[in-house]
Amino acid sequence: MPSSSGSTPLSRPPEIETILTTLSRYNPETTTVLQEYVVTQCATGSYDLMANLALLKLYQFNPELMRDETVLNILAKSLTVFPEPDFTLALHLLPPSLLHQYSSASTPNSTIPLPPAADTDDQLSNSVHRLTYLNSLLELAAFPAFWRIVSSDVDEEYADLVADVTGFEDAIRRGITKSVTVSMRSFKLESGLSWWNFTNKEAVEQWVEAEMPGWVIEGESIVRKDEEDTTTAATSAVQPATGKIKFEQFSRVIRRVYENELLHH
Amino acid sequence: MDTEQVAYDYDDFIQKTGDYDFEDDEPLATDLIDHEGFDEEQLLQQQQLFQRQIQIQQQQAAAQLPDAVRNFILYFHHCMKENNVYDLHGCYENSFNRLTEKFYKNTPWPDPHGVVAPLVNNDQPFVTLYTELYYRHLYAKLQPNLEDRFASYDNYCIWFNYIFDSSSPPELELPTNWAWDIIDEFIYQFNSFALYRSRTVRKSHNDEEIQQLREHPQTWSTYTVLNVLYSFIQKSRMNEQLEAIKEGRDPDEVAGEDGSRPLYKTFGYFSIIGLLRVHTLLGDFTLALKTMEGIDLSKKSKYARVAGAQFTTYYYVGFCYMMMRRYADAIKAFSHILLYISRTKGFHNRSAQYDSVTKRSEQMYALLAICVALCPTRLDDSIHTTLREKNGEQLARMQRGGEESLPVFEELFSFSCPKFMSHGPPDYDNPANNVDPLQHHLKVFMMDVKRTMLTPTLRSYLKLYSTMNIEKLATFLEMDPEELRSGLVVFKQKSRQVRWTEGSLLDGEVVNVSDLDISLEGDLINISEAKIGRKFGDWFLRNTAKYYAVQDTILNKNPEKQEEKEHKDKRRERREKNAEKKGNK
Repeated sequence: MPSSSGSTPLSRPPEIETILTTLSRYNPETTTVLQEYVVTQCATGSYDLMANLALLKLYQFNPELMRDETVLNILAKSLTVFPEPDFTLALHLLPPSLLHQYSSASTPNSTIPLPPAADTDDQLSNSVHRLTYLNSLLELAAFPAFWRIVSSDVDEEYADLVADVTGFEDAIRRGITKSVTVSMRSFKLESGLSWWNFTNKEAVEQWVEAEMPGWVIEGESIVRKDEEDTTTAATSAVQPATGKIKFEQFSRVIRRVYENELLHH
Repeated sequence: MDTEQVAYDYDDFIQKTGDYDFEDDEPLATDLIDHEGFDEEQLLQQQQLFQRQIQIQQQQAAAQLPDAVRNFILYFHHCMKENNVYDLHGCYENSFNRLTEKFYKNTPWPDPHGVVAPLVNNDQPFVTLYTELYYRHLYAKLQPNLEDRFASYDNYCIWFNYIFDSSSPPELELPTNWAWDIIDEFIYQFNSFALYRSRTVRKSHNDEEIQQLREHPQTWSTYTVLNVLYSFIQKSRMNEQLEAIKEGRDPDEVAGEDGSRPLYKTFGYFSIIGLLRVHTLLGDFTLALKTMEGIDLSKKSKYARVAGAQFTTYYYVGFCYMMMRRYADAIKAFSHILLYISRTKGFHNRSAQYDSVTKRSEQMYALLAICVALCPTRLDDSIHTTLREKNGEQLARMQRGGEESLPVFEELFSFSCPKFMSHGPPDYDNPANNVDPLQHHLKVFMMDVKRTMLTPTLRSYLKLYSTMNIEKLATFLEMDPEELRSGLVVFKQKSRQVRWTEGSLLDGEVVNVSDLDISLEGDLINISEAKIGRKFGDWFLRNTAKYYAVQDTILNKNPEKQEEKEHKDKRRERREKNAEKKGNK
């Protein structure tokens, strides 16, 4: 089940479960426990949406307790589960002033937006803007642009922001894999280089073998081999103009005709 | 006043509208004021005189009460003491509104402490309840000032303390819709206060008010409101009761002593919906839906009869789904309640809440338009028609996509979203730092919308072909092929959503909700579209039956039997339609 369905992840320790299911989620003192939990998530690669949102809510209620680092880590973590809407849900719980001045213009003839404009005075705002921009790139499936920005030399801030999350790159790659497997039946091997940020074809091949069961490499393309076909549109196959009508449906008409016959004789 | 007199049908007295003409004010007894000098005795005398004058004024004010109103108050009090829920319901639902229309259209009801309290011998619970009605009327028809807001808050505190008094829980039983209205109004005033506060800080230069706001951070604080709602839920053990009902057990077993009292049960249930609302107002959509997990919306509980609660529930549930990008679920929620409203239209016309119901349904149509634009789905015919009537032009613009659609999205969102608020007090010292929460949520929402701007154009092209080359499509759209590829991935991504199938509101599985599906093979796009076959046979039969009915009406055969038949036919049609739908799945 997707994470936003609120189901309990296996990695959640019992004391967190208690916090989330009782009123202690409003107790300001639980911020320390939840903050530690975020650190754990970053270190081990696990992920717990409800706990992170609960912490953001506590920050909402007790702004003086807010820790910039934790907030940024939560946002970075929610990037890793894209295409889930988790990043957006987290944004809703942030103080409005953080996003107030965010804007990213689009270039003409391109759907890919530019990085956010000039920096504001607030360091936290700037970081949030950058992460939001990264999220936009992922949502727009502009994967080459995403990798370019994240590993950019021009603005090292981006790399700093995601540095705390172990396995960030692989997690993003997995998200991209999900998008790709859902929408494609086959694609060129060399696209894999820019989409997954690999430097050579062998790395791509290794990735496909490890992470994409049911897909094989055929020459210069990566092809889906299993029978699972995701191209089933919502209402299944084309329904023919039905010729079948049950006899009972005629009952009203027949009865009426019968009555008419009776009455007129 | 002897309250024993009140045992009659006071409806007769509604006819009497005579106002008392009151005698002239008794002149101030100036001769008692000694200008020579003061001494203790005279001071005392003056005090007594002053008190007597206040009493006289009160009596006169009471005497200024129209007869009907005084009788109403006494009768009302009587019902409450007797715990006569049925008549209490009548008082609340009908008489109060009638008297408001007649006497207090634009003025407040008689002052609770000055006028009403003496009438009922200062019976505190009744006075508190009456005060709640007094303020509700004030908020609805007039503009409450800061003092009024503080006072109504205090009144709620008194009322809730009275209910939560565990040493002697009240035997009182209120009609369900009144209980809902109390919770509803409580949250509404909380919301209204937050908005008033941020407006005052931002715009007005009323330093006195700002000072007062600063000094009373506890008044209408989020913690208080949450405390009240959670306490009701805990006291009535509502979640445990709901779980028991789900598993088919008897809820009274787990209810505990307090939970089995009807008053706590009612308030407990409605507090859950209250929490749904409060969490949404603060921007926590997941928690809002999670709080509702005990409630099964498809079941008809006795609380489902309170129409106001139903509207609120579906509105907020739908809105939360929309913010979580579960547009299909949102559409379902909105359609359900809008259908209900349209079917019970005649019923609501006479209710005092008609205006608020209309406003809500317009908001829901607007949200429905947004969701349909973002996730094209077939709607029920009647809803579709009304939607086209109300928001047809906006829907068309949103569906066309592109830059011009964005302002429409913003307009509809701002019109129909809940009145978001921020949790704590605003920054009093730097008013410029306070950003409107509505703008914040709108901005985040629009970020999502902007990413789907390409979709409608893509759809229109994709519908025309069953396969197409990316290069070719890129030329049509004047786009870079690689960017187009990304766009197609996005299109595919957006058409897969989490949709509810069973279980609590947050559950769901990822399914394809679009009627158009694509899959990329290298540079080739494969497109498949779902077509719903026209069912000619069914259509003809249905219309044949309708023509027979028309024929009969014209010939005016057997009108009674005709109505019955039509009724049965309609029901049968609906059953058949459902059976077909199930059969064809």
